[in-house]
Amino acid sequence: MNEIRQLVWNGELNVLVSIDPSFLMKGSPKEMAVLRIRVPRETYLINYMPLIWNRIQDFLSFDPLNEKEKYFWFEHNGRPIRWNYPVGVLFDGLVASSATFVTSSGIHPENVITLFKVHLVMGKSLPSTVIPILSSSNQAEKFWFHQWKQVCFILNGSSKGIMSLSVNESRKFWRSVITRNFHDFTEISKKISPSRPRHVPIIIQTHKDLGIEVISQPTISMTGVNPTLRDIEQEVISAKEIIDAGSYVIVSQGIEIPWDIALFDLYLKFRSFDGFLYITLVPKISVARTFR
Amino acid sequence: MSRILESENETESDESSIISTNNGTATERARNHPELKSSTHTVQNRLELFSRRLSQLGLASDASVDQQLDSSASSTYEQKEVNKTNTSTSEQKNIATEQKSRKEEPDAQKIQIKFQPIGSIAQLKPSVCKISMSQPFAMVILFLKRRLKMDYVYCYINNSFAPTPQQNVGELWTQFKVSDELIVSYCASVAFG
Repeated sequence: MNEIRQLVWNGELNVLVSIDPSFLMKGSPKEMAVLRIRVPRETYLINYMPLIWNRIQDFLSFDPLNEKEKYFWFEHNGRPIRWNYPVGVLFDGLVASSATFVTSSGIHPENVITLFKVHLVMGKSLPSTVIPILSSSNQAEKFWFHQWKQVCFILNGSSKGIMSLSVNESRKFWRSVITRNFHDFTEISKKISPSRPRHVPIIIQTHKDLGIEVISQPTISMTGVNPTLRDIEQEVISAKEIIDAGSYVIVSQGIEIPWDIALFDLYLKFRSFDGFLYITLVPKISVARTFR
Repeated sequence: MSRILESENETESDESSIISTNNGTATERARNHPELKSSTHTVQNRLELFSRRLSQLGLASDASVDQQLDSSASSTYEQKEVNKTNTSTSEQKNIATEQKSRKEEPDAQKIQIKFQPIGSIAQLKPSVCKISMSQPFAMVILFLKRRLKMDYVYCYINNSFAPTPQQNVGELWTQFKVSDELIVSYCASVAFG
């Protein structure tokens, strides 16, 4: 299992960040407005804000760290992106080819280069679904820690597991995310995860091609049973208007997941760095369209 | 505009407010169905608490409308009263069926939130409110900010974690409810880092 965890942990994406020209002074070189970075699936986009600011600081038309009247956010094809989900989860929900690596036999994954294009924009008001990006350096850390507290509560019925970590362990936990230290991350996350959870922390999102943006967090009870994905099909597809269960595939960490996998097993192998298991419902039509 | 959040004994009738009350409901039900009073100690205690609050406010006699219903439902209620004299019984049945089915829609169901202050921040009165299950948690934060007239309020579930503003209140209630109430603690500064 550790091998699968390690592969998931090492997953990376090519991200192209384009910066809106309004950030830059007139006459700034165009190449400064584009940033190509390789980003782990298991991180937040805002962890790269210092890198972005640093890259364009000489050409900025204002000081973003002291800006009070403007808000910044990321967009993908004109759609605001919620930075509070891991980059890999955003990719799975927005980019059409995410599920094709395993479903298309004629294509070798190593020959496919996918690019996650995001656009950094600003405005006087923030889209309603987006959490503001603050200038404080530890915004992501604080948010992530609360996610883990919530996960701990769902798994154990209280947040004692994570709250009883020492200050050093808490710091080490976040540092393991930043420095990509799989060993430290596994060691500390194990302390929080029980062998018999009460519920499984799961977040289900719909792919953009479904035309509706639904994100749900159902309560999946684990008392006395270890259900498979098939057993919780109703909870998975209860994401509002999605009715036909046979018309989509389930994707987690960019991989198509079979219906008969045990849920807790799936959780332990595929959970994200914030402790949640993210599942994306991808319509089969968008999978087929990519390689037509 | 229909109301989104309901508190237990607020009396203002501003339609644009996100708050409404259910005080009248409890009193009305208790009056019409005395058996409810003896059903459980909790219900009895709450009813007593309500009537005590009402008598303090001098509003007991005015509490006749089921204020749990939103404004559209209230208009249906009024319409129903008029229909008693003007329309046939079958039409009334249709309205009742429509009302019932509307109430049974999961998203239209309301859940209770209990607000608990942390530190020196003002206590919300009443401390228990109702909100539609389909609302995001951002609505709860907005309500607190308006009620407390503050720019920033930090909210925590079960004195433990801060949910994201995008999370669905109904899902939070299902996962973290205590005695059928979602416990939301609030503070003027960071309380649980």
